[in-house]
Amino acid sequence: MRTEGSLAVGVIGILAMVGLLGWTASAQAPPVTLVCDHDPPADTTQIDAALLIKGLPCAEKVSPDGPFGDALANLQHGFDFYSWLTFLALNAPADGSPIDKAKPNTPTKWEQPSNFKQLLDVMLLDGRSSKWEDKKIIPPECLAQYNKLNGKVMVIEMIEESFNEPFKTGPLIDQQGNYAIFDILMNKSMFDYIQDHNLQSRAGQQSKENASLKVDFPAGANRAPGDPGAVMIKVSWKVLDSPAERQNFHTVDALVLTPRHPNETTKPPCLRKTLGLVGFHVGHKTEGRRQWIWTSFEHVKNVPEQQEVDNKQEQGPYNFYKVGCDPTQCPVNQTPPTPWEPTYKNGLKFHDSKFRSQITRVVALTDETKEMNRQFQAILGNSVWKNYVLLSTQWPSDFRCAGKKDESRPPPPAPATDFKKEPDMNCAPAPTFLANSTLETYSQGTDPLASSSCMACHGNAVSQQVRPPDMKPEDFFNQSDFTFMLEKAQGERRR
Amino acid sequence: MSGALPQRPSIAPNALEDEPAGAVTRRTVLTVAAAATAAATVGAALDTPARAHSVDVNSQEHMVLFVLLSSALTGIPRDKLAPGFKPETPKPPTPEPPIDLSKAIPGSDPVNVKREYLTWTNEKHPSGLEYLLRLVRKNLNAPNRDQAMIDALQFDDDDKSKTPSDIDAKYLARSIALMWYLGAWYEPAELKALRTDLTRVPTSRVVSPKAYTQAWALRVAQAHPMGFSEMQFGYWTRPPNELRDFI
Repeated sequence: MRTEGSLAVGVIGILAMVGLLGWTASAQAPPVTLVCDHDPPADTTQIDAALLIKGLPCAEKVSPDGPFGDALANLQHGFDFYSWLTFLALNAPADGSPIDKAKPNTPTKWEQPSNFKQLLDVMLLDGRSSKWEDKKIIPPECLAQYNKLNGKVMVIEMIEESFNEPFKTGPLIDQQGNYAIFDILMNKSMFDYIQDHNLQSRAGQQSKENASLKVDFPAGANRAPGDPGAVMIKVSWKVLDSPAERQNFHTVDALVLTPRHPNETTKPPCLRKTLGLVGFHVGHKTEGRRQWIWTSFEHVKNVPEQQEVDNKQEQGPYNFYKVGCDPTQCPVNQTPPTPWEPTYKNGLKFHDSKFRSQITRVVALTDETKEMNRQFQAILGNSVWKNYVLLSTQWPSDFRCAGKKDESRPPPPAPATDFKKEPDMNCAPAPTFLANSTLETYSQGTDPLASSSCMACHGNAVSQQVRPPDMKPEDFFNQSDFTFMLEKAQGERRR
Repeated sequence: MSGALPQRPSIAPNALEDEPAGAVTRRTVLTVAAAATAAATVGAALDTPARAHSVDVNSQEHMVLFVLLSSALTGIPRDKLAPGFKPETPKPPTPEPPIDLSKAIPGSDPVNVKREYLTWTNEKHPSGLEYLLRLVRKNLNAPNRDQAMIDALQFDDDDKSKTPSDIDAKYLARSIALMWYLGAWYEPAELKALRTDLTRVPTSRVVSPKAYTQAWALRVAQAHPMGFSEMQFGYWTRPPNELRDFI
């Protein structure tokens, strides 16, 4: 789960909860509060419709004791239960209506700019600061269409991270030949921390004032009034050209600005598309899990598991796999032929019109996770949300390590996370590996340091902080608290 | 699981793992390791097994025995070798009460390299492993369990009171200790051959990618394996943390 990865969600400012509605800045609907539940239900609670309105957990509530197996299994169950509550809370209709009655295109809470901001709306071109209430800056190439639609449309300005997978391993091409599109968002807690420390600016990060800063985002806790702390989201979208398939996905009406090419003399096209949600990551920092909790969902029809392919048990059609295609013609989990960048001419279609990604899930879901998915899907009525599955939740299993505070003097500001833990600053992630077929497509597996692990990857994230000449190397501490977002800060570079 | 289940208490972030049983220094770790892998004197003969049986890698009891054996051989606390290891529930007072094999929890760590080691050893030397786990069972609640096991495995091969099984178990114990420290397997016969040919270079095989990343030798040295580190970016600019953070 690299790149900004993966996770998130949101809500709320420092005091708590809140979030208004409407994806667009000009939405007319009344504000709806996205509540952070500081007393979330225990994972032994019966899974029924009552859970649909519980709201976003401010933090996890887990126990090693229980009926689900050994301590590890009980804890995994607790975190997976937390992930489902999180998924339901973030994707609940923004207008407050029940999620099990939601239509495919019903706007969700996380899509409201009052709840989450897209990364590029924070890391502005010149590195200037902004306010949470500021309206989205619409790219000029999209402005006419945006105004014509009265602003009731999602706008995605593509950059490399919008089409290229972590570690620049390549794009994902669906069975219709379109690029999968990725987007990254943060909640107000993260936004405020960034603005308070001038981290939205490259020059700000490189300032002398920030040389000694240990980036340490707020952490959520299960106590009133309910502050979830830092939450980030990464989503993946599939272009839905066919009206028929739109009934199976959560969809948004979007204007997609293709990536800018410096050598092009014309402007990049801004394309109006219906996008279907195919991947959903949430990263949530809590007081007890300072390595964040990493939740990963995706659409049930994205890909088959490799073991299903081996046993010829595919149940297609899939979004990123063609059933029955000979492996010599459709080698699995291979990156597309270069070049990888979208072109102005082809828009969101891959340049090789015959290429389709042939993706399988390398690591199968556990039986326990499948069972939990079945139970939650059963309470989602006929809504499209029953078409989404939790892959797993990665969490730091060494609790003594995970909650450790920085004890240096003078005491650092809260939450005072100790980032110097050795030998494992990630505190034994469980499961060790976790990959979403749409967001870590080419790094699935179980190879140490090579296969996708949310914490192992994000633990290496740094900012653009610079050590001044008069600071000892051992006093300089460059890390960005498990997010790659700070790398995207723009503005003048320090000379 | 559709029905409501009993409520269970949530836990504080630091409540899952016990504190290490005792202070461990690099010297004690290496001393014990050296004792386990060097060996030389006589120990008491082991009881004959009451019945023949193979070690079951899926047995919680056998895993508990293996962790106890490994802790004695390496000198590394058992809850470090097997995070989440608990002799019994609830948390024991000091001094530790007798270990109840039916209640002891052999760990809850997601990496679970101990399972690879137990499986590996059982596949290669089932009778020798059975011998060693029987030794642990025999000394399960001895006043100084670790030392009792080390003493039993330290003898001269020329000791006439020792059977071939005793000698095989001694070298298998060395192989297990080396496996924990190096993540690699040295055949007991290769180690035994060193006794008469010190110029010999024993061959070894890395047990698995996971074993490579979990080897204790570099952790004891407050370092990490080449190509695998979970330390904070920029750690190389600072002195390493205290040894207790590593072991």
